[in-house]
Amino acid sequence: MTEGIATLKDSIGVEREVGVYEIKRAKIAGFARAIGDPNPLWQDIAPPSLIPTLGFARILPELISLFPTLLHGSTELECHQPVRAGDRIKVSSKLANIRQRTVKDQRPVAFLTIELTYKNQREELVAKCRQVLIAQ
Amino acid sequence: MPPGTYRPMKPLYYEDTAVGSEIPPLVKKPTADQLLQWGEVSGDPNPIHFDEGFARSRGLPGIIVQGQLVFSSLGQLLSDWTGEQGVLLKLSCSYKGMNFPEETLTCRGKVIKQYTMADKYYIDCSLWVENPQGEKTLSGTATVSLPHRE
Repeated sequence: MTEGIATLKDSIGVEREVGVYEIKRAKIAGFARAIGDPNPLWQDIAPPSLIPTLGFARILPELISLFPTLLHGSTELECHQPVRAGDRIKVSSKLANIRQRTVKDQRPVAFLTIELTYKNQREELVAKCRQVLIAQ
Repeated sequence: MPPGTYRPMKPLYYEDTAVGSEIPPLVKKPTADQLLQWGEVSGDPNPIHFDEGFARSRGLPGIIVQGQLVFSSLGQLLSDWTGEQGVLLKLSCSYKGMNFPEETLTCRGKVIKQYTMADKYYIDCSLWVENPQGEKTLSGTATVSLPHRE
């Protein structure tokens, strides 16, 4: 775990662009199906819980390779406007901090806080998300 | 009502809520197939959600449900309740315990605060998910803006 943290130290506070994601109607439909939410609202508008998944796949593999176990601690999503079909969402991410602690059974764990920002094709802020991952 | 059925409700107005009002519970039962499907759409590549052997090698009792899949259910709990005009502004949760596929999860919530700001009407809710043993495996909060009656 210590090695993993050492690798990440330099990237603390550095914002980087993760990618740009096109929100197609089929993507919204596929997501709604996967979460088992048949609400007819989710055709032109994406369920808000889709937002934290944008770009997540780009961030996770590196972290999974650095730590033997990676669990999700918390998700905080702040929505500024709906994500609609046809939007192109640009995701930026920043490792905000790493806190090391020892949990009850004396195992050292690290809490990684990742802050993500989502902007649409008009550069308007769509959402922000703070994810805490627990690495062991 | 079988899980996965949309429960259309009347539009919810600010005046219909009160501190302590309970949100109609939402029952979910994620299957192993759904975990795979969600893994695909979300791109979450963590094998602890689909590879039993890998999950066990990491000290877990078996494959576990993606936290964000259950987070999505909290979103559904709210949107089923508030209808088209309710706007979700904040949704946060802590993942307190593991959920396993085929377990019945009950999403619950209640209103903890009502307020107005700049002619807009808001409620804050406390939300949680209970596993079959009645343990809270997720707990969170949300802020929603609601229409109000003139």
